[in-house]
Amino acid sequence: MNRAQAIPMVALLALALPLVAGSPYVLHVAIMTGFYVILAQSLNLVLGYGGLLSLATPAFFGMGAYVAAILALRFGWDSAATFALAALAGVATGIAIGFPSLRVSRHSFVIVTLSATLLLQLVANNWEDLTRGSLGLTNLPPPRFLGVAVRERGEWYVLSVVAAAAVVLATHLVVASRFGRALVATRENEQLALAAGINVFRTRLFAFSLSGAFAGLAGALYAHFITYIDPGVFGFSVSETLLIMVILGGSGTLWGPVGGAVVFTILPEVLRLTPEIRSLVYGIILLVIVLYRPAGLATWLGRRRTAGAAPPA
Amino acid sequence: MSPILRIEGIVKTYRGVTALDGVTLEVAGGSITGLIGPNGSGKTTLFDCISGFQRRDAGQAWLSPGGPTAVELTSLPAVRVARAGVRRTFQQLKVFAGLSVRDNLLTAAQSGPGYSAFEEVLRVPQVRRHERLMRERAAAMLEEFALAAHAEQLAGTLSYGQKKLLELAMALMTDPKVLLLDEPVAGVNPTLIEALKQHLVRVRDRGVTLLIVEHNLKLVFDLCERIFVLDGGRLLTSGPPDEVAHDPRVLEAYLGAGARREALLDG
Amino acid sequence: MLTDPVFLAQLAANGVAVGLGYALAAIGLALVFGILGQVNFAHGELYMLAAFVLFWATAQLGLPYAAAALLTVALMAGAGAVLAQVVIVPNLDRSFESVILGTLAVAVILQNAVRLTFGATPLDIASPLEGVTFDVGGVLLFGQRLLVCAVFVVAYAGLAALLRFSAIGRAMRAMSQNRDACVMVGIDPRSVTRWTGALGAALVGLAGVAIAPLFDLYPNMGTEVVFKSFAVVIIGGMGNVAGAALAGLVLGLAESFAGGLGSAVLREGIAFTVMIAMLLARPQGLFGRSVRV
Repeated sequence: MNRAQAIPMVALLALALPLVAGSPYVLHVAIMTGFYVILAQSLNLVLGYGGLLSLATPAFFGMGAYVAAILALRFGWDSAATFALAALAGVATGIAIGFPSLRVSRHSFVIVTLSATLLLQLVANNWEDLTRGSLGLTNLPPPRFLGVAVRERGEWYVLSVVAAAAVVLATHLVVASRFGRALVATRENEQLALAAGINVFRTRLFAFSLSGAFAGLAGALYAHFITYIDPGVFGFSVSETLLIMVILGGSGTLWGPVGGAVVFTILPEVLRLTPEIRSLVYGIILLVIVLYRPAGLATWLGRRRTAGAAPPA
Repeated sequence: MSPILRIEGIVKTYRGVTALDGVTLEVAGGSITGLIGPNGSGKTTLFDCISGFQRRDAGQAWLSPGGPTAVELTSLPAVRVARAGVRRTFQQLKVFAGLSVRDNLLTAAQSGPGYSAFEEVLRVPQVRRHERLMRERAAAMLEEFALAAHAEQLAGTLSYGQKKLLELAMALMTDPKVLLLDEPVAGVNPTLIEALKQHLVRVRDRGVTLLIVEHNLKLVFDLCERIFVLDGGRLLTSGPPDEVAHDPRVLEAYLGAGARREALLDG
Repeated sequence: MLTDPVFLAQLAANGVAVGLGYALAAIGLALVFGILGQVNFAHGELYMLAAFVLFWATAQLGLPYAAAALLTVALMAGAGAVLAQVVIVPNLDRSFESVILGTLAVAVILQNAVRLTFGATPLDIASPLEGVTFDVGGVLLFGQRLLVCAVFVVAYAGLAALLRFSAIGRAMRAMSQNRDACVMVGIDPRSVTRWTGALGAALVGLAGVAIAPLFDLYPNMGTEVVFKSFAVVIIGGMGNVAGAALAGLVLGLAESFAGGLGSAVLREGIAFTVMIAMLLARPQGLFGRSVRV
């Protein structure tokens, strides 16, 4: 058995482990890991491949969560529809934020993505008729896909793994395509991309809205799994965690952020960190990366081989 | 020969400083044409205005003027200018450092038919067909520009001279009508200058019109059929190389700007 | 009722008071961007830190408000210099994203450190001007609000004088024009960076000290401040201190009228909407680039 066969085998065994040996707690962490893989890939697409420091991922995530929650609670729609609409809400948010922010300077881009996210948080806090403000939405039902409900942790785990795998596969298809090559080109040199006839704005907007779809889906999954959401889903701590996962995992690579998501979901649980301590530690890690690992940053800014388009087969 | 590019009265000012003051000139189709002048005379600004990287304050630039396919360039964004068949290079050498040499060439070619992101991600048959054609094209380019051995290397790891070759090859991937070259041999050793010169002649013979900004005047006088001289944002003079080389106003413009006489004569 | 002149005058007075508070909170951010070309994402957390330091100095050290305020501003200036030294100086020659990530990290660290130290329960600081109100023809003016306005006027005049007449102010203006040229005439960019950081933090510290007694204190109170400050700085023209001051005032007025005549959601949306409109209409902002006071 060579290495190329061994890796998927080991990966499959590792994936099966929580089902066989897992306590409910281990399964809970494993399920959350899947959600973080999706979110990390959402940021990776924009930050890693597109080279854009976006702080809007929680906006997509929160919109997905609220759309799924409100549709399920108010109308009791089937989850196949609500999850699709949650992903679409992510796309719409991506377009709404991307349209102004991708036209302005790179400083302003970061500011606008953060401000838009904070604005959504304000709206979620203040539009109490719809969101119940800071009380949040509670008692979300288990999702039902075309009538099939997902209740048990084991079922949730399968759903989480399938969704994460689908997102990783979709990311692969995107970044290995001609579009992915163009996206990396816009990261590498915006002016040259323009001179080569690549519509930089549209390329980035597409990546941004796809990133929105991924995070919107993650939001719907998260909302139903935790059964409770509040305006905290739009919080900066989501961005912070994802930045750590993507940058330390290896931004602009397919599997790096997956590894980052796995490590940085499990590690705080193993270390039994409270959310405050975890956030504090992540802040320190982020600062240390910026100060002492310029090479890590350089990777993120795109000095590593990334999307070589696959030959058309 | 009929003009392929007609520039009419281009004016560009920055905060009250006039960079271009009504430049008008015509580039003959299928020619190698030079654009020279001392530093700050507006050469690169003119390129920027034609190629959509800066907005001019007044004036027009027509591609294939008078013909049925005439396009006014200065009102188009950079992407549309490139797709209309006017490609450019930059004074400060640019390649996609994090992409392989081959991917650089493919990226330079993929905008041509203008497929949507969805079509590209889903790899619809037209995209695959076009990509296959462009792969063949890229392979030929790699041979022609002696880059085949480095095809899978990251472009950022190439030597400066190889990057210059790659830059030219990228600009040629889509059969442009006009190529605007901003200092194609700046910082390049004499041997490679010779090679680049032969490449440029071959490109011209293929039917691509070249407009070259270059400080190596020897190269300009050797290659170009016609030369335009800019000074202070205005057209100082124009003509065939031997005429321009002996025009006292040209010498004066360069000497006035502090250039050495040898720079003018020996390049 | 809506056209009642006293009501409208009250809205205007509130708007001016709130707006000058926005201006006071934002000029430090505008200054740092104007001189260093860097966005300080920890700006809101510096404001929050100032409020908590003031709480500590008044409630726990038992200092009177004025002394506590002076102590707080001095400490904030020190913190700003340290922040500049640690995060901005090493990144002067790197991509601006490094500074953004670094200051974001500092923001998170400060927020959580304060949460762990003071807990998440809202705290409050007694206003020294509690109950001081003036009734001008039916329009109520509150003492602490008037203090905010006064602090803004003094801070702005002081800043303008400093930039115009002091050696370090000259060096700062020079740095905003051209950093490389500064090195050639013997100005040390690192030193100017530290001074700018200190000045920016002292200004936002002043804002925290003046405004904190009006509201509850909680660890993520900086979020809203940074949100409004970004909007004000962008509307004013990135790095333009005078523009930011004017934009703050206008935003305060607009919000006051939107809240009074419209709804709370409308009020919250104004800053962001105007910012986006401004960015799309004129990417350089209303007043163009470079520091001007």
